[in-house]
Amino acid sequence: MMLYHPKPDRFNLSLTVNGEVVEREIVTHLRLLDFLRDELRLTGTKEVCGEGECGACTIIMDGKTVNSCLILAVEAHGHEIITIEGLANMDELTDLQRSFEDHHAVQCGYCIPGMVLTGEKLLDRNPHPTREEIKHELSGNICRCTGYHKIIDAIEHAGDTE
Amino acid sequence: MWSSIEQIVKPSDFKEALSLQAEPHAKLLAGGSYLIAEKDQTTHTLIDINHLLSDRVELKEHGIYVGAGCTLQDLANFGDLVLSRVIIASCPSKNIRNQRTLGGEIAQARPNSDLIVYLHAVDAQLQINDSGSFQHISDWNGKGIISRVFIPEGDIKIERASVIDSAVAFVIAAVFETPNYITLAAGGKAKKVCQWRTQNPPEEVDIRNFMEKVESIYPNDHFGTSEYKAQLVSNLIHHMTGSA
Repeated sequence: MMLYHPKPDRFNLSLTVNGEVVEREIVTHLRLLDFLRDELRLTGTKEVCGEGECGACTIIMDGKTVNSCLILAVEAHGHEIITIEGLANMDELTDLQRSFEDHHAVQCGYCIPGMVLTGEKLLDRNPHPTREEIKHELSGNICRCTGYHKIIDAIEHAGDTE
Repeated sequence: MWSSIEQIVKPSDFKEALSLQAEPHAKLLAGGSYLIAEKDQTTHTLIDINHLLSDRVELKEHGIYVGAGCTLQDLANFGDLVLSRVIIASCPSKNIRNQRTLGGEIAQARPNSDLIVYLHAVDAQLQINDSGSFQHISDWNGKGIISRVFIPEGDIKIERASVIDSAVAFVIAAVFETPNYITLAAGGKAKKVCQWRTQNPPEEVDIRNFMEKVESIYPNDHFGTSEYKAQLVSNLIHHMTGSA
């Protein structure tokens, strides 16, 4: 039997976050969401329901969108994480982020990091998705403000030239 | 639950995982999204078996063999349209489908999972503890670790009754047909999944016998009486088999 760490309640975590290798000693029960927000201060990843229903805590782990509230940080050991902060720098937004601005798709903003990451993954795979495909992809991301239409508009028209 | 975890252990094989599982306050971690969401504070040790489980999907002559570590999303991408639709109905969130594994879904054995009803209808077979043999899903007693799943191919139909389309179904019925036999399965907001196999085509008396079994799995609740739900199952089966 191999323990993750000689001390049962601590763990030496090593993972890649937004392209940079990060190493920290953490408590075993820390969720990935708490690690990103509290240890790394990457607060773009939001917590809302904390039980996998809403998708506000969406991140990309090894190329797949997942809910970071349902993953222990130790499960991310050796894996590659992208958060909303890893998509663009403050000087230049991605086409999709600009499209969210242009289509007024943001209201309270809490769900938007998850929506944008999910949208980016869809556009990586399918640059011209239909509205039905967008709705299907957003099935794990809940917004309580916009009614979704403007968010779908933003993803549908990301990269369109004026 | 996460705040109660004191340690995570990584067994080197199935035997070690099983002995660790026998310890009090220990639970298996494979996919494991439900573990973090549930509020059970009695879990102190997680037994990480992800590295022991294959996620391979192999297409064979009579069906597909799926490693228990395969995520629902990967299986939805691989499977036919019916299986993909059933997986999405069972787990509408793509994020969760990217995390939840087939083995974990079966181990949870939730009768209101469309996928569990589907697997009972096709009479899926489970390999337990990486042993050489497979057993039918309806025969599995919940003990041991699912390592591989065989999902037979065939003519499967599944229908559901829910308050609105996107809601969890309170009645799910499935019909699996081969030239020789037909398997019926029913689940939903029920005590367990009910499975029944008979000749093809079934006679009316066969379906009546199945209904008697079905009625016993449904409680009387705000969705309706057990008789009402059994009648719904009967209607769905008649609709799917085209019988009067």
